[in-house]
Amino acid sequence: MNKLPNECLFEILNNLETGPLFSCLLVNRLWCRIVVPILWTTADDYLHDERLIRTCLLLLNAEERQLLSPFEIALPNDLTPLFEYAVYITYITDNLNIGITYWLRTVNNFTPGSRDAIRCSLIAMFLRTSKDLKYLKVNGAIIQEQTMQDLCNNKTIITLELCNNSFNYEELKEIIAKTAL
Amino acid sequence: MDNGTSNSASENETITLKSCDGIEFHIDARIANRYTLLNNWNGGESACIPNVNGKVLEKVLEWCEHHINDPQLNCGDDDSRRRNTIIEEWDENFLSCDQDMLFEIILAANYLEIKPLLDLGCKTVANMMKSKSPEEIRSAFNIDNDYTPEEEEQFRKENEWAEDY
Repeated sequence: MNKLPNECLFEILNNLETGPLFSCLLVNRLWCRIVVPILWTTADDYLHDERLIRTCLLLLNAEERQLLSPFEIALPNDLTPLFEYAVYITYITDNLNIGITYWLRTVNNFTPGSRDAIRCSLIAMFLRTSKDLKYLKVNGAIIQEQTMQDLCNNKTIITLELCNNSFNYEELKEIIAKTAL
Repeated sequence: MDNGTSNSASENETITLKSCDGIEFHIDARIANRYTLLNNWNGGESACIPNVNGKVLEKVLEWCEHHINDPQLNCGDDDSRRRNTIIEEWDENFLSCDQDMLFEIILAANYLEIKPLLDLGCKTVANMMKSKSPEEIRSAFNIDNDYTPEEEEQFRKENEWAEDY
């Protein structure tokens, strides 16, 4: 096994389902470096799991955390994650809202306002970090103008779905027109 | 080698392949063409395969011979997750050799760019990892753990969501 080049190890590990990949990630540092991109590319499939939302919340930077301060949400305060995991995420769907709701319930702090705020912070983080985000569905309001700007500036998204929000579409058109220049 | 040449070898044409340790194999030229074993073959009657020893080359050629009539797969294969790890019976028997030989076959298939054999070898190893704990994987494949206990614990916690799927 030690003789195999990393490209072969990637080929091997790329065959595995999510659960077995978790075991492989814990084998050693080299395996971890190969597994993390495979595992996190499709992380959205599991974003409904509050444990994944918890890890994503650890990836927020100071500004993104700041956006949540009015809601007095007790964010996890573990060590900074060992990887910028969100770099590898390629799509974000409705699972995000489900996972956020579950997570807020685990910390007994669910309100529609806090859910919307976390969604906005996480989307801001995904837009800042992901190098290959192709599909993004935003189900609900975007409350920060910065996130709107980041969305318009994003160069990787192929499909963007906006639903259940109260956008001022005139304003949106203006932003898009500005960034298109 | 472009595809136009791959059908040109006639049925009785044989060529000689020489492994890195000097062992010669006389094979049907159609096998060499089908699996483009000789990327820089000049069309002569013999060719050297560096990096692959006789024992391994014999296995690789056995596989190629059995799969001589397989359809050419589309080369536009992407890197997306392959979750289909079903292996045909003949291939399964073929690869139930010792671990060292299995890894040698993977290395050779990678070197010789025989993609279907590489995929098959990789799937076989992947199947050996299923339902094993990290410690069991380490001992099955003789791998050292270079994590600090704190690091391992942190990775476990950050990715624990994946464990149940």
